[in-house]
Amino acid sequence: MERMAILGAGGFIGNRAVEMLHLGGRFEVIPVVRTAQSLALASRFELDSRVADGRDKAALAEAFRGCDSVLHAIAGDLQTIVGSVEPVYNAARAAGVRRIIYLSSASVHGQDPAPHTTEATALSKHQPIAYNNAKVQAEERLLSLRRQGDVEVVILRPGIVHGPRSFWVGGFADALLAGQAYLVDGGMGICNGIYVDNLVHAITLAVASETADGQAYLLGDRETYSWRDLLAPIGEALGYPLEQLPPPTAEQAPGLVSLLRNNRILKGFARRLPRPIKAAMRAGMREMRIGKTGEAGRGSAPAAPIATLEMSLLHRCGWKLPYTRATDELGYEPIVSLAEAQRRTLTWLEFAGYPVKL
Amino acid sequence: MTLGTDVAVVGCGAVSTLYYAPALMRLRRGGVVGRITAFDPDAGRAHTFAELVDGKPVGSFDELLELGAGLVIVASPPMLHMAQSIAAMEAGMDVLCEKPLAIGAAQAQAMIDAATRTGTRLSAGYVRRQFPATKAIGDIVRSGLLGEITGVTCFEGGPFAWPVAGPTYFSRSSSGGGVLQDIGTHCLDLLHWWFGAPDRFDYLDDAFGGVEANCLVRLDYPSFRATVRLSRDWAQPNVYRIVGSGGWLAWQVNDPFNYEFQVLGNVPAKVSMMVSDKDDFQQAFVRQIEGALPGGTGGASVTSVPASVSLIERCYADRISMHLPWLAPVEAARAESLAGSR
Repeated sequence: MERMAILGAGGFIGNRAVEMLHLGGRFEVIPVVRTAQSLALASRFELDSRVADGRDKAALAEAFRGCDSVLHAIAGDLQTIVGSVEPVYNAARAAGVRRIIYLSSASVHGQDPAPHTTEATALSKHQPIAYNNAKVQAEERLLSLRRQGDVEVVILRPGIVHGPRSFWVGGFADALLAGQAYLVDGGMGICNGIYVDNLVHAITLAVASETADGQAYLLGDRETYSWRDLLAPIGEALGYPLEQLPPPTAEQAPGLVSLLRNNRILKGFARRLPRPIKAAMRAGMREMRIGKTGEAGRGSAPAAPIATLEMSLLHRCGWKLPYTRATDELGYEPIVSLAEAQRRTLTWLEFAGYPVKL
Repeated sequence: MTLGTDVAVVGCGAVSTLYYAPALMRLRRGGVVGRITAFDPDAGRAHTFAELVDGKPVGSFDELLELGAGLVIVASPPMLHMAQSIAAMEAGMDVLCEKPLAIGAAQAQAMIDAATRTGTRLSAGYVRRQFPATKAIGDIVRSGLLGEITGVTCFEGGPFAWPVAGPTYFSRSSSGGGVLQDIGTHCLDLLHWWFGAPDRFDYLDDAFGGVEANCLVRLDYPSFRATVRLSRDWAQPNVYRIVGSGGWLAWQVNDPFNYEFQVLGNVPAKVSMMVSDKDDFQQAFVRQIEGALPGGTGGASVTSVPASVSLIERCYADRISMHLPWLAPVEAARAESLAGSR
């Protein structure tokens, strides 16, 4: 049985990979997290969990001991994205790991990629979204290490990974309940989404493939759908039809509030807070914004949500990224349809305690 | 001149460093507590704690007992509570044992028997009982102000962020369970304090060979059902809500002083308890320690098996699996088989 270390097992994708692969019965899963507290979900199962910082080569090597493969699913700030690549690779080499599956992102091609973009399209490290550049750098560094080392590398580029516990789902539900949800241009742009189970399925194929070493693969759902298509069931289930969402205002030059709002790490932390505290934080953010722009006289009227650059690009995307290479070389075909993915996602929202009307 | 009571602390993890250390320092400044000694199997943690309280780390539990103290605070992993508490009481010292008092009624009874046998006092660290708000809520419920209670909901938890020392925290052999044994201990203790024992219960969780991150407890009382949903997974509202025929009351979890209530026909009221400026969350731990010290009020004394300990034991014994509707059929089937193997 393949023994796989899942680095970043406490995150959304890592957690579902632990759950799905362990329960699937074909993998022996070793969850690896930066701090022990991140093992709360993985510990629902009796697993040989380990603690290692993504930049600590010695600790990682110990954590990877006895593993055939490593799934690199660390989510983190820009420094972690780039800075974890070399320690992970070298630790895998020291531990005798055969292959690393690296979770990159379709955003290496930008949030609104040009028509006909594929894996063969050249990548830029000078994109307006810093996250994209960090992921490009990480991919480059990993492939460079592969050329010097003997641990195989497969890079996966999923798009918007959605499903239970996804930021794109839970975060949107929270925003709806807080009156801060929005869709740019009605959310009619293409969502290059992939249901998390489809991604985990692709990971299993990437582990087994004999030809994938050194390659990068775009991954997505079978259906072509818009952001509105993806999110409308959530709005309906929570009693907030998306057509009633207020149009967002365009993002201003980034000030402190904007930087805070757009920081992925802060968003991640904020998502973990109890809803009353999140609501208070949002109110504080609004106050800071009002104070900065001198709009204090508007009374208690709710402020229009501000569309970030990232969301504006995503919601206006005009190109469905193809996963043809993954199909041809990995044998990838999505195993869960969008409709079924949405059904499962809504049931999770109810499980998590959202006021869902199914 | 009063030198204060010597206190020994066993287990120097997060609850000791975050809550007991500042409370002990307050009591020492007030002359209530004297020398503080500390033991932890991780010597580094014992040293860190000792530095926080200007105390003395010791190298073994036996050494701590030999040094003696008026009160031993047991804040070790739950599976060690019984053995360490009994050892301390047999050495003639009173014990304040952090929640959960014990894993199961048999352990708790053994501790109570030891206290009786040795003539020492055993107290339990159910700190939420020290909040002015929770005391007031109990008084309101018992007064009938809300009329006949028709429903109670307790939604508590969020992504787990407690700074645990290592993965063993999540083992049943060390902690005795997951989220139910952890925050559920507090919740069930308060419900029992406010409403007494339920007529029946049912319990569901998501442990499939390990310890639960989510659970659901339904407690049926003669006139209402209390629904308890606990999570280490996703942010919950963290509100307890009590609804009666004559009004409702809402308490934000861990708020020592504030709650909201409405008596039908009146406007909703937000109540802030009148307390000293110096009263805060830490002060609840101060009160808890004070009550457990020799000559203290004894407010947290344990003379019978706490209802929450028995109920949690029965919950685990009668546990059924939560339905995780996002799992594929093959996953759900394997999850169920793993749950049966625990």
